[in-house]
Amino acid sequence: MPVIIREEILVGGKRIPAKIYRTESPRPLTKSEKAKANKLDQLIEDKMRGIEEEMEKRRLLELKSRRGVLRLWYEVGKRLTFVETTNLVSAEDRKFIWRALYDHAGKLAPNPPYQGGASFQTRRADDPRNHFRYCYLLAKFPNFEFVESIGDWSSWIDLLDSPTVRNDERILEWLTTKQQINTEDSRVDWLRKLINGIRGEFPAAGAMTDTNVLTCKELTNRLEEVYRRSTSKLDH
Amino acid sequence: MEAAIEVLSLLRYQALGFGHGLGPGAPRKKDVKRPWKKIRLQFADVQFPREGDLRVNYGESIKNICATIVNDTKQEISVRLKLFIRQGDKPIETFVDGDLKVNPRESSKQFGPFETSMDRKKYPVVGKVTLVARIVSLMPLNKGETLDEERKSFYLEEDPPPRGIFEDCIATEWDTNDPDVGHLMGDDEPGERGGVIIHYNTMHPAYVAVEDNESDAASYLFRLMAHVLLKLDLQTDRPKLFHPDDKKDEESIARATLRLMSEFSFRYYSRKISNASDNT
Repeated sequence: MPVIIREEILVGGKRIPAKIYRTESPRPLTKSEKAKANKLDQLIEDKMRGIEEEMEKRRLLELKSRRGVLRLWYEVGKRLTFVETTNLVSAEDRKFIWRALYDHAGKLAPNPPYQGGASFQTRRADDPRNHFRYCYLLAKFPNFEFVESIGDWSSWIDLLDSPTVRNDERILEWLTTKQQINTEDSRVDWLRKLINGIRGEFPAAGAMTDTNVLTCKELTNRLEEVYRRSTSKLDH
Repeated sequence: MEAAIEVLSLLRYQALGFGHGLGPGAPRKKDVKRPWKKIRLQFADVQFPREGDLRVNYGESIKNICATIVNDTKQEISVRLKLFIRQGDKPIETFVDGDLKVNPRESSKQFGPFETSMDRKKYPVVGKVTLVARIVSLMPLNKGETLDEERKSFYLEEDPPPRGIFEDCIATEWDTNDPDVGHLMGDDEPGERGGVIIHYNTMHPAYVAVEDNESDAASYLFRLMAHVLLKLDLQTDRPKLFHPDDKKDEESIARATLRLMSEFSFRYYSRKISNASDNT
C-alpha cells in the first residue's frame, strides 16, 4: 500500500509540485489503493496536528532552536509510534511514512523550516537518516534523564547516524558513565570527538562491525581505548 | 504492469543493445566479479519451486538452504555464523546462529540443507524476501568485524522486478489545469542507475478511465512507456529502433513512430492474449 509524499518533479521541462504515491510494489496504482493511501495521508495529518497542538499547549515548541530542544523531540518521538503500528500500509512501504511526516510537520518541522523544497528533499524517500525517525528512536528509551545524560540533540543526531550505535544499547549505556567530565564548555566537542572515535572503531560500512559478538568486558575495553584516544587529542 | 515492463525490457535488451544491466549506464555492482575473499561463505544452489524463477508463492517451499565457510588463510579462524531469512530489516526465520572454528586451508562442514515453507502466518507480507548468511570474526585482532556476507533474494507472491531501462514507474498526481503540462500523461527523468524513471499522472482522464482494473492500467502504462522508449531512441546519437531514413523529416518520424508503436502493441497484446488463454 503506497504512501503519499509531496515533492517537486520535472515534467515537460517544468518543475511542478506533485503528490507521489511511493511504494515498493511494481503494480499500477488502482483506485482502491489510491483511496487507502489518501486515508493514511489523512491519518498522518491528524496525528501531526494533534502532536503539534499538544506541544504548543505544553510550551515545548518554544524550545525549538534553543538549548533543551531534546525534550521537545523526545516528546514528539513518543507520539510517533503510530508509524510502526498503523495497518494502513504494507511492511515494505512503512519506511516511506517517515519522509511523509515532513509534509505534515507544520510547526513541528525541524529547523530550518520546511518550505516545500527544503534540503531534506534531496535525500531519498527511504533514507533512514530522518529527523522524525530519530525522534522516535530517542523515545524508545523510557527514561528522559538517561537520554539527557548522554548528550544534547545534535550529539544524538551524530549517535543515531551510526547503525552500530543504534544496534547495541550497551554503547549508549557506557556513554552515560562518562558524564563526570560533562563540563558545560567542553561537553559538545568532547562528545563529538568521542562519537567520531566510536564510529571509526566500529565502522558500519565496508568491514561492517557487529558489536553484539563482543562480551561486555571486551566492548568496554575498546570503548575505553577510544575514550582515551579522543580525550588525549583534546588535551593537545 | 510487470508485463509492460517485461516486454519493453526485452525490447531494450534486443533492440537497443544497451547490454546487460540497467540501461545505458555502468554495470550493476552485482555484475562486477568480486575477488574471492580468503575467508568467505559459500551458498549452495538454493532450490526454488520453479527453476530459474525467483517467484515463490504461499504453500511452496524453498529447499537446499545451506552454507559453508571457507578458510584460505594459514591460521585457524574463529567466527560466528548466522544463516537467516529477513524481510526488510526484520528477521523472520533463523537456521543457524552459532560460533565455530575452521582449520587453516580448510572448509567447515556444510550447515544445512534447511528447508522452509512460505506460510501466511510466518510470512504475512508479500514482496521481497532475503536469505542472508553472515560470518563475524570472534578473533581478538578484529572481533566484531563482518568477514563476509552473502544474500539471495526471492519474491513472495510477486514477480521479480525486471531489469530494463525503466528503473521505476511511479504513480503521481499533478494539476491537470496546469497550462503547460496539465494534459501530459506522464514524463521521464533520469534514474539513479543510468536508466529512467517514469512519472505517470493518475489524474489524467485516460488513467482515471482504467484505474479500476489493474490489467487495463498496466496496458495504459505499457503504451506510455513505449512512447517514452521511442522518445529516448530519437534523442540518442545511435538509435536502435529508428532507421537513419526514419529521421529525415517530420513525416518519416511520424510514420516510423506508428510502425514501432504497432509492433510493440502487437507483441504486448499477443503475449497478453497468450497468457490469458494459458490461465484458462
